[in-house]
This record gives sequence, structure tokens and C-alpha cells, in this order.
Amino acid sequence: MSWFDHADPPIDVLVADDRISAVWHPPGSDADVVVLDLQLTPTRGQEFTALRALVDGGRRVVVYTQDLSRDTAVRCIDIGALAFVTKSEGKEHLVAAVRAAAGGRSYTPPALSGSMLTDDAPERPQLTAQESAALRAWFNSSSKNLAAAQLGISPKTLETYISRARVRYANVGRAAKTKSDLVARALEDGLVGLDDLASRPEE
Amino acid sequence: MVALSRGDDGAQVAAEPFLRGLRIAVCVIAGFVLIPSGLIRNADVYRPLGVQLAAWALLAAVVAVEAVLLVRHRSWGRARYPVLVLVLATSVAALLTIPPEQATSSANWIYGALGWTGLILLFDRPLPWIGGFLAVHGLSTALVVIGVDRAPADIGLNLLVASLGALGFPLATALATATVRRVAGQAAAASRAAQQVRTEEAVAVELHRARQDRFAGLHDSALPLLRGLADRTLDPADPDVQRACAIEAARMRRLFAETDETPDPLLHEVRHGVDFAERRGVIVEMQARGRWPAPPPAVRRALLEAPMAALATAATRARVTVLGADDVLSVSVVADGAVEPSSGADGVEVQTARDQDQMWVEARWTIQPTPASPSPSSTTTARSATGS
Repeated sequence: MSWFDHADPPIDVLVADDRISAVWHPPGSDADVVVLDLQLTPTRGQEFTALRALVDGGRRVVVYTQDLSRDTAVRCIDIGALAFVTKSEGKEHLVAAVRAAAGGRSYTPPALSGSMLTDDAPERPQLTAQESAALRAWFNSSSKNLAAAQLGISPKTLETYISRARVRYANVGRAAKTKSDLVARALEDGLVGLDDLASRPEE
Repeated sequence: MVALSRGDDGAQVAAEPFLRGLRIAVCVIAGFVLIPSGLIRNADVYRPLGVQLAAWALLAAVVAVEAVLLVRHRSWGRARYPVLVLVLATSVAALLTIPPEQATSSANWIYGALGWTGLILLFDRPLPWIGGFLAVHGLSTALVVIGVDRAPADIGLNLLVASLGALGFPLATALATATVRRVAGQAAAASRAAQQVRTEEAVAVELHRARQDRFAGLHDSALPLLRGLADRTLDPADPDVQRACAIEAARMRRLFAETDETPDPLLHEVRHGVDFAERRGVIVEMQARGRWPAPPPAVRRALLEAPMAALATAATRARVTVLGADDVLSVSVVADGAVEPSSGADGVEVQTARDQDQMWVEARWTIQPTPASPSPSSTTTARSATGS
């Protein structure tokens, strides 16, 4: 993919295949990051099986999909995908998402931000007002500069709020290595404290 | 018992004549059982007679008032409760002026009459009310009768037989009333459900037609493009062709994402604006997330004005979002080369920010608990923020 060729530093595409099995043997098994299209699975209802197998196998996965629905996005990050990028956001966000995932970090493009904000599942984590405001501004503007300017904070602080919200998501629901790594890294970086993570939704 | 809201649909209206017929019948019966034959025949046994006459006059007055109410299509309303207490107290007083040994004879005319008078007063109340009233009535008479030492078995049997008419018949009538009312309630619920299904069906058909119209639009725009690419008359390397493809792809994504099953006037107008921009050759990404109640029309206009103005002046690309979360509904447009739009009104806050050639316009409305509430203009604010 030319986005990866033109990335700086460039990202090597080891294998591009329409079969999931390609990621399990060389050269696919050597990849740092798997970019998964949910529509690859032939049967409906099996969309998440491949993702779950990859995450359980310890792979870092970026889901890249046509599917815009909120529930799909939230489900993917609950399973343990490090990023969820919709195809319409690919040009601006796929390279950044893959780079973040390679370092075991999450990446939250605007559409995922909107999905997290409007998630009304009972197990959704409680977000602070600052985190909600950051997710809203990021979803609506899709620009860190514009969103930060509206909230009167620096783009760096905006990123911190978004990452914090994302770490809260990694800390609830299904257990997965990529998720616990994400939480551990956030704790190391001082992005969140143990007190933040202990808080659960009141309802 | 089923509590009914009055007169709001067909099935219940259909039940009204039956209930009215029953009410007239109860009034007529109550009038007939008051024909004072027992009272006149036994005029010499009462001590004193005056209490009996007063009781009779009171029950007759209740029947008379009921007749007037029936003619006027009115109910007893709250007046029933004091009248009910008065009637019960009078009947006990009347009972006590009858020699106990006469309590199961025709001298106790009030035993047969009071049940029907009670039914008049409690006709539109739930069944347990009239049940309770009849129980109190039967019990008070039975207590007086039990006080009589002579031939308890004989007198008890008399009371039982008398109770069949005095308590049983009014109770049966009350049961019939309750049944008619319950069936009417079920019919009303079924009619409401059917009406809702019909409405949903009509809405679904309408949405389906609107969607088909838009998909048909793809035939005119996307098909020639695909055909040209297939037969190589269009060059994929040509920037114009690439741009046309990008516009069609964005349009298709938007159509595929339209899964809402209820018409939303706000989204409808946003899509209209997006359609218009696409026809000008602008690549538009649109995303809607969350839930919101339909805002009042004035708020909807205020929410749309600034973002739609930005969309209408977008040069090449625009991103449109509608977001309902945390009690705030927002319509937001990020576009290139847009002019400065107007500020907010009607409780809608508009914020504008600019970063190089990107212009971001966001209109926000705090979702009101009652969307129809008037005078939202007291919270009008307009602010402006400028990015780096």
C-alpha cells in the first residue's frame, strides 16, 4: 500500500493476502502489526472470531474497515484491537494507527472517538468531563489543533485525555494481553493512576 | 382491574353504550326495589318510624340524582364518597330501629335496596370497591341477626336466602361491568398496537422508497464511472477521474451507513445539505453517532444554519458530524475555504475555529428534558475561538 511506502520512516508490508491464515506463517508471522479488514471473513457473524484469535495469539491488531457502526467499533476494542480505523479515515489515520500499534500503544481516530463517547453499554467505563469533551471535540473536528483550540488546552493535553479514555476501555470487559499491556504502559507513563482505573461506572 | 384512560380511541368508545346500558339498568332496578311496600306494611314495627322514612328518602334521592346524572352523561365524581358514608350510616341506623327478630322479614326492606344504591355510587370504580361495600352491608346485618337468641338456624337461613338477592345480584352486575370494561381495555390496547404497526410500516415503506431513490441516483453517477474504468475510456491516473471516484465512494459509504428506521428531520436536512455539496463536486464524509430527541423546529434551524453554510461554501472536502452524547446535540462541519458563518440563536451555541485552510463550525444544543418548552432564547450565547 502506497500510504505505507510513503510513510516516514516507511512501513514494510510483509504480506497482503485475503486469507487470514497468511498472518500465521512466514513472512506474515514476523509482522509487528496485523491490519485486519473485518469484511474478510466469509460468513456473517464470524467477523470477530478472526480478531479474537489474533489477539489471543498475542498479535497487535489494527482493524481497518468499511463498517462505521458504533457497536462494531466498541466491540473490536473490547476484544483487544489497538486501533479501529474506518476506511474513510484511512488516508489520515491508518499510518499513525499502525505506528502506535507497533509500539503497543492504542490509537483513537475520530470515528472511534465518537463511538466511545456514545457507547451506552452497561459495562462502559465512566469517563471524566474532560475526557468526554476531548472525545467530542476530536470526533467533530478531526483535528488535534482545532479541538485543542476550542477546549483551550494544548494538543498534547488533548491527546492525553483521549488516551486516558482509551485506557479506561482497555481496563474493562474482556481480558487480553494487548489490553493489559496498554494499561501497564499507561501506568508507567503516568497517563493514568491506579485510582483512575479502580473507578467503575456508578450505575 | 384495568384502569382506562377515557375516550381516546375507538374500541373504548364502542364499549361506552354497553356500560351506559348497564348503568341505566342498575338505576331502574334500584328504583324498583325502593317501591315502599315493605315499609308501608310494617310501618307499626319500627321504633321510631322517622329513621326509616329518612333512610328511604335518602336512597330515593340517590336514585333520582343518578337519573339526572345519566341524562346529563355525568359521573358522581368525588361526591360519591360522602354520599356513600351517609348511605351506609343511615342504613345501619335504620337497621337498629327494626326489632331484631324482624331483621330477616320484609320489614328490613333496606337490606335488599342498599346493594343497588351502592352499585349506583360505585359503578365506575374497580370491582373490589363494590365487593367491599356489599361485604360491609352483609356483615352489619348479619351482626344484628346473630344478636337474636331465638331460632338462630331458622333466621340464619332466612338471611342467607335474602342475601342472594340483596348481595348476589348487585355483585353479579358489578362483575359484568368489570368484564365489559376489561375487554374494552384489551380491545383498546390491541387497537393501539395495530395502529402502531401500521404507522411503523408506513414509515418503513417511505424510508425504503427514499433510499431507493438515492440508490437510483448512483446509477446516473457511479455506473458511467465504473463502465469507463472497465472499458479503459477513463484513466485511473487522471486526477479528475480520481476525484470523481472519491466523490462516489463517499456517497456510497454514506448511503450504506443509513440504517436509521425512524425519520429524523435533523438528519434529513443534513443529508440534503450533503447531497447538495456532493453535486457541486465536494467530497463529503458524514457520520452520525448517539441519540437525541427531535429538537423544536426553531432549535433545528439554529443548529443547522451555521454548519450548513460552511458546508455550502466548502471548496473541495468537508466532514459532517451529528453527535448526541451527554445531553448535548451537536452538528459540526469541517471544510476547506469556508466563509465565516453566522452566530447561534434559540439556545444554540455556535463555535468557530480555523487552522490554516481548515474551518471548523460546531453548533451545540443542550438537550432539554421537554423539547417543546418555549422561550429557549434566554440561554443564547455565541462564542468564537481561533486555532493556531
